[in-house]
Amino acid sequence: MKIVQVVPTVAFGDAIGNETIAIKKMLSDAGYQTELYADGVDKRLPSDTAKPVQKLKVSKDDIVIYHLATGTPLNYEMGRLDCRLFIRYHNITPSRFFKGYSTKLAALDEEGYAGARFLADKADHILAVSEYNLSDLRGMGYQCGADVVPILLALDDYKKKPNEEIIKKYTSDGYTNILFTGRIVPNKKHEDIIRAFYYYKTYFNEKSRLIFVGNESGMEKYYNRLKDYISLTGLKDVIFTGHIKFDEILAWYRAADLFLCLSEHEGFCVPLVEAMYFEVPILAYDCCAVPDTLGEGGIVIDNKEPRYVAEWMNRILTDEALMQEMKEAGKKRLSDLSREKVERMFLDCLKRQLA
Amino acid sequence: MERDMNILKEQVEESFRKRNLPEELAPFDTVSIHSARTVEPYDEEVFGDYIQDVNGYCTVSDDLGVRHPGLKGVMKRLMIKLVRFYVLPIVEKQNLYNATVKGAMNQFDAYVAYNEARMEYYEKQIERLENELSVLQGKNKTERQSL
Repeated sequence: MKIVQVVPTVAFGDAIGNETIAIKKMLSDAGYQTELYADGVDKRLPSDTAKPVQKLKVSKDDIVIYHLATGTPLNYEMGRLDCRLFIRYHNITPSRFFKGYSTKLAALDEEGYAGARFLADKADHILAVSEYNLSDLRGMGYQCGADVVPILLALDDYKKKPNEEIIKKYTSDGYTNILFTGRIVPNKKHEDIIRAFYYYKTYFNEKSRLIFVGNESGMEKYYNRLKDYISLTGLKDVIFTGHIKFDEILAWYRAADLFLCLSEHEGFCVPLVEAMYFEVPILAYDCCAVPDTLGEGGIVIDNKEPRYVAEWMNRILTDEALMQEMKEAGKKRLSDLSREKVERMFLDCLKRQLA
Repeated sequence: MERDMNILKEQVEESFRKRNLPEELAPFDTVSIHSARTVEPYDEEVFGDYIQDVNGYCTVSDDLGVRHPGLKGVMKRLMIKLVRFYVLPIVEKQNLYNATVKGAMNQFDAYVAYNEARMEYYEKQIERLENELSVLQGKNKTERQSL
């Protein structure tokens, strides 16, 4: 019996790609015969990271853990395998967010949902990364057994040295740094963050800046629209870093005073965990998997009205005791998501299924 | 967190109400998804010229056409050979991009032509239906009179 993972692409620095590599190591260390298969592997990763999916051969006893997150023919091929199929569901962004921005992405997501529905009666078990994702699958007709196991994160990577230049430049000028990290995509609602920041900067703290760390590639229409909106409002001190090096991402977390997330669709939201790691207080909108991931590690609000969000930002950033409490709460929540704990959860689930 | 979140929420909500900041920010929808402010109004002739240019200048050549005789020509050709490894990938990328733009523009051109043809067809249909209608109205009138 072997446990095989299948993923459409092992991308570099991507949460799913990193997780597949971490799971492979975990299973191998636990003594399981394991392998990772993918349609494509990022050129920056070692070529032996994953085998081509065309070479996948399984027997009835084997378990295939399929990472479901997008529209791909693999969704259908997985349903035809003669083995036990576990779905590791990372969620698919609903296509409505991409309408007008990218027909290609919208179509890909529609395809993803169709594929996910196709697998509903073929899956033997669900390994959802959040309660939200599990309920999403239930809504698609999945009736098999399920476990919720958070994403396995290699938090040790964050111990690497951050870019000193950025820290020095952006922490020594007395400005308050508001941070959001994540790809520039419409479901993350960067415009709502800009709106809240406008009121915060205008009425509470002129010496503040907003930093968006994330790649805009493939979503230029949305990115240009955000830039146009910023010009229209006359807002200053908004930085889009674009795609940056890992040490620079670490530096922005180190320089941040508040992490603000007003996203309207997240299957897990890894940046929340990253912010907790760097002890950045988190203010987030109560939506999708955000409250699952955040737990009590930050403040969740159910109203996005920009002036209301700005009021919260001001409260947190002017209340030292509250900030300290939020940092402590973040640390506490982070311990629930530690690699050791998640690995244990994952292996316990597997053991239960194998028994 | 140790503190009562409900109390904290109430405090924030109260100061939010008291402050009563003006709603002065334009909605995000104010900005067109297509960044319309950078696009000129449609002009059939200008569009036709652009399409011609796109198709004419689509391919970038890596041959600079240095034909000088003597040392000057040799030096120029040598320099071109030296930087070729650097320039060629850029030219390839540019050509790929140009081909994409050309494809998109021609598609759009075809779409405009298709819509114009449809409009012409519908105009003829309207004309025909109007003629038929007037004939029918005439017939109707004659029938009524005879009744």
